[in-house]
Amino acid sequence: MVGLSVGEKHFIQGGIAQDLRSDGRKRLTYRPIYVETGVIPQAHGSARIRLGATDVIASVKAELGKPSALQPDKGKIAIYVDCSPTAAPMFEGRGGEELSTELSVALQRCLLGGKSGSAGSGIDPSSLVIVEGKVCWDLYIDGLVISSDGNLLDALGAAIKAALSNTGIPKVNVASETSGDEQPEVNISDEEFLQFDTSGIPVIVTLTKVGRHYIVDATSEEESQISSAISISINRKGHICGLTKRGGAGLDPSIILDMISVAKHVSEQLINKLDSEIAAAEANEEES
Amino acid sequence: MMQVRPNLDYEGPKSHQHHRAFVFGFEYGFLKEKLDQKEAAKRANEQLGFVFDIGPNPWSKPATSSFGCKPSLVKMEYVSPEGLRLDGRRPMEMRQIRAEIGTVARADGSAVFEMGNTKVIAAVYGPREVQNRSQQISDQALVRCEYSMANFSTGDRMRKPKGDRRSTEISLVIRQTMEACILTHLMPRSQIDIFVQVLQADGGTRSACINAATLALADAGIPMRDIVTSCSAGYLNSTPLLDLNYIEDSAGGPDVTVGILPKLDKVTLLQMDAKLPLDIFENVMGLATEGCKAVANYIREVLLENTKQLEYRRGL
Repeated sequence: MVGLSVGEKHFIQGGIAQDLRSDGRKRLTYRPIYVETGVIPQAHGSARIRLGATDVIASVKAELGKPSALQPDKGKIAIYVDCSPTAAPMFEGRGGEELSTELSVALQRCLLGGKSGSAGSGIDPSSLVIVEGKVCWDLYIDGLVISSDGNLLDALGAAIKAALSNTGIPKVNVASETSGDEQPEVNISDEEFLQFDTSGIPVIVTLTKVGRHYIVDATSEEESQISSAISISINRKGHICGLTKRGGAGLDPSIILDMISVAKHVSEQLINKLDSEIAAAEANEEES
Repeated sequence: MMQVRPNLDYEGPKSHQHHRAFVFGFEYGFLKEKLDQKEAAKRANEQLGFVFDIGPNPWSKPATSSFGCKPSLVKMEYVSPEGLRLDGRRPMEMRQIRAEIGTVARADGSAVFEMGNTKVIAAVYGPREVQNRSQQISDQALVRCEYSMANFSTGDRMRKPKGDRRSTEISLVIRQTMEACILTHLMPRSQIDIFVQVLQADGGTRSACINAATLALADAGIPMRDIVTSCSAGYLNSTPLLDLNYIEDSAGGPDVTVGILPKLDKVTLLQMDAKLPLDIFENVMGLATEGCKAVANYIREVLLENTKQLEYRRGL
């Protein structure tokens, strides 16, 4: 994707080995994160995250739906990611589909947990149920990549976290008790909104192994030097909520464990930074 | 200048609760002088109600010609007796426009353009080597364009199939419009890609995309004859309306989209659906052209400001 000369490759690798990357960061430092909430007024919640030249938008839309027969006590949550061709000409037409799907699945794994939807999930699907087995909220989370300069997964994860803390879902009053198979009548309030508890939503930390070292928040130049990468989602308690190993050569199991402990350490700083940025963005939005 | 301020008290008509953002009421300076805000909001709400209209509308001017829509039983009131539109604008008033240059860091040129609640991003890549050799043109540049809408851009979330007919058509329209102003003969055997992404759609996406593309091309430093600007106008309740929003656009009346080269005073894009008598069409098109000129003035200001910034950063 990125055409680099031999000299440039050596420069990047040498910099990483000496803990001084080409943009002046250390190996385990993120680029500055800028958060903006409420960017899409017609969504129930939205946020835009900028991480250097990486720019993503996440929006949350809730629609009333019916819970599935297998899990009558749980609402549905879906994550879709779209790579806009503005980010790179190669995403034109169907070009971005492969990456979009990869990111969607990885986010689903990291944020929502498996099919059972219980463990690892940052959002409790049972909180979306209005009438068991009949009415629930379907939560559609859409991510859009506007500009891409590496580390899309972490940025999207952070954007979704910010969008969810920005989300207000209208309060629903069930009009009357209905029996049997009848669909109950519901009233959607346009004044009262329910907020999510987003403290349990994990952040995603992608560790990229270049040579013998790992770095966080790789730019696309650095990503082209990847020997392998692991994305780990970790919540505030330090629990691992999901893990994806992508690309590159195989890794020694002990290295993976080491990478996980490094990611855990990094995630603490990231969560704190992100939470304060989100709070600042929310305050900013209310002011304006 | 159109200084507008969203009226947040106002919740939107009942039938459009989903589109709350689309129908933000706007309260204007002149209203503020006369009424206090609460009264204005109340009035805006009254204006939004459906008007059951059997027979001719008592408020609208009598139709200027024999032309007229079939009178329907329930008719929406798009222009109030006071001459205000659903969002509080005057018929010949545009929505607030805002533009920003250089929003996509990795593109060669990029811009955001907003018209009211419509918001689009355009990114330009090129001129660069032609990716697909068979498309290469030996004496001019190849211009390509892709229009896409975000899933969350519309009121109801859509799961769009990429490359549906509507977006293909708009891509084509934008490409042809921009091709007309780019000096393609200066860049033979090269390729220019224009990508426009709609973040919020509230009517007039076509115009907003063209305006954004112009800015992005200028930001990329691509030689152009002139900037292209675009604006739409319509005709509802026997009144020509400038810059239709989503509700006015979906009313089914005529929608004239005009794109002009303001300095050369030439029309490069003209589209209309529905029928209109010639004299009214002339009016509506004239109105849209005026809109284009207003946009052109604004775009020129933005570009000038951007150039000053660049100059400053260079230390000139």
